[in-house]
Amino acid sequence: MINARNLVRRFSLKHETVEAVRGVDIDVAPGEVVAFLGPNGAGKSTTLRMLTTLLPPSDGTAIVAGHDVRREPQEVRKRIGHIGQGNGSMDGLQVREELYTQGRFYGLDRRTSWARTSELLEQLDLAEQASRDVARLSGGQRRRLDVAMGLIHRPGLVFLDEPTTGLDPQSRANLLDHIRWLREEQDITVVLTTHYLDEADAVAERVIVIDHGQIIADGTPDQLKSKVSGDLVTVTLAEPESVDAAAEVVSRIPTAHEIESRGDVVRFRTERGDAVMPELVRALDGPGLTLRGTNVQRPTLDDVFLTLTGRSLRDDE
Amino acid sequence: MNMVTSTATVFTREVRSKIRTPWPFVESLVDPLLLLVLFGPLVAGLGGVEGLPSGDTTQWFVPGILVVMTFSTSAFIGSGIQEERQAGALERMLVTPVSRLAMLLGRVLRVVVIVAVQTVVVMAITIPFGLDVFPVGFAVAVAQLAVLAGALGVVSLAAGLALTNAYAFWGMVTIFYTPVIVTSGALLPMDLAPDWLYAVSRINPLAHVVEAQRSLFVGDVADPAVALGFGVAFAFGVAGALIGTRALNRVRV
Ligand SMILES: Nc1ncnc2c1ncn2[C@@H]1O[C@H](COP(=O)(O)OP(=O)(O)OP(=O)(O)O)[C@@H](O)[C@H]1O
Ligand SMILES: [Mg+2]
Repeated sequence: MINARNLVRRFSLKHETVEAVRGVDIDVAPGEVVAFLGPNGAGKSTTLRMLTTLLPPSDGTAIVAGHDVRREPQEVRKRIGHIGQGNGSMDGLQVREELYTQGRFYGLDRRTSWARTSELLEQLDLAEQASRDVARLSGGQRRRLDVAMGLIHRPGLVFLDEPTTGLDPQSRANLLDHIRWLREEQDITVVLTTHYLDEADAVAERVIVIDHGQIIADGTPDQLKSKVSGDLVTVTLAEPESVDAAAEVVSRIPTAHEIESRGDVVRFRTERGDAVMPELVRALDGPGLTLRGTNVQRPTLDDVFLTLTGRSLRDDE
Repeated sequence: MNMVTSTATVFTREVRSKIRTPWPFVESLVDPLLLLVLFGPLVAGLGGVEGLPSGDTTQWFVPGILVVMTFSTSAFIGSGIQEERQAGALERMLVTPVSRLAMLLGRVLRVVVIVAVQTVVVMAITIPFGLDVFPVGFAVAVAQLAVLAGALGVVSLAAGLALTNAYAFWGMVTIFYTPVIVTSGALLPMDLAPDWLYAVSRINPLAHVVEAQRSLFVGDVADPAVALGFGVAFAFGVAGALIGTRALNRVRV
């Protein structure tokens, strides 16, 4: 679906040249759901804009949906949907009017465009709001309208730029369901950008980590997580006094490292935390230490980002 | 989708987005009427000053304020496209295959229609106050103001796209507004102007349209000033469309 080679984008400002994207190669196969993950200013939107013909690349090539973004932008536009970072709808218009108009912009005839409009309003749970002014929609509804506008012409490939930013947790979960639905029921290839690790984790089969305009990692969430050395195991003790004794027991586990004790909690990393657990519980039982709880956490993408760059993703937020 | 359908779609969307609030219409109609009521008597009081007809000045003054009205209806629409760019709506249209020129023309067509309607309304209102009717001249006058509205609208859109923020746009408007209105001769005759000011008025497209309109309002359709007014407005509009389409192709949303 996408084959991009050495994409570069520079912006000339008054006193400096900003190199927003510095030579990225991206290949996306039909049917994939790919997330671009990176902090603010990483170059995610700029990359997306080059792939969606909104911005000509300073260098490099990109074939999107079978056509070159530079030589045949019109052909690319017909075949893709793009849901930008902002609001695609204009205040003063009704939900169904915006959607219908978007269909007409894609060349659908009147009847098809109205039919698609009704269908999408239904599918994105906007039927009740059909004749409401878009200015009076909630954030989540407005975002779903944007998604509907990107789907009106049945594209095989859809780009979403930070689809859930600014939404409350419930609307966010709802939108993520709709993104999964794109893939599972509509057979659409999806490329999205996000700051949220759990989001990339939840919907994407593949994550491309971008930092300072370059790709620093590319793989399934599990592959990326395996870069981090092990799961995080947390043991909570019934009595804070026994923490030191417990830490001593943990240190005898051969694979345990990064052991930390604080308050009534001992934390450490190890390969296969789930497999280590029974052994650990038995070992703690020996000296009569009572547990209040245990927890094994697989590495998060935040841990991955930290390992790759030495910075936490959250530092930038 | 061809040019005509695309333009019509953009036009319909524009009209629908504004039709539910009457304020834009009220605003652009009230202004010329206030000028008529408040400024008209002052002009009439000037009597036979150079460049003014001796006697009744209605026939001279109405075409001038119609040009002012055309200017204030169409010269600010560039800020609307800036708002859409800011919000993200422009970006969403730019990823569709719709023609860039159609995006401009559809928006401009809205002000063209509004100006034509408003012109007829102002004519109708002023007839009872002594405006003499010249049907052919008036019809051509409406057509010419529509062309001017299109030209000003497209130039305004081009400016809205070329300037990256709202401050720059309104700054430009402020810089141009007074010189354009004063040197158009719409309110007072340019015959009163010193040579340098008169020279400035010659490069103001509005001045040529004002002169053409005054000929049309006395039924003198064959006056060369009429053709000149059309030519200037057209040339201005074509230049605006070229710059605007270019700007839309390179716009950084
Ligand atoms: N039109 C522009 N002119 C100048 N610089 C720009 C422009 N667009 C983006 N940049 C710069 O390019 C860099 C990458 O920006 P981009 O919008 O792609 O980041 P992003 O990863 O999408 O960030 P965010 O998560 O905040 O949306 C930033 O440093 C930004 O300031
Ligand atoms: Mg972005």
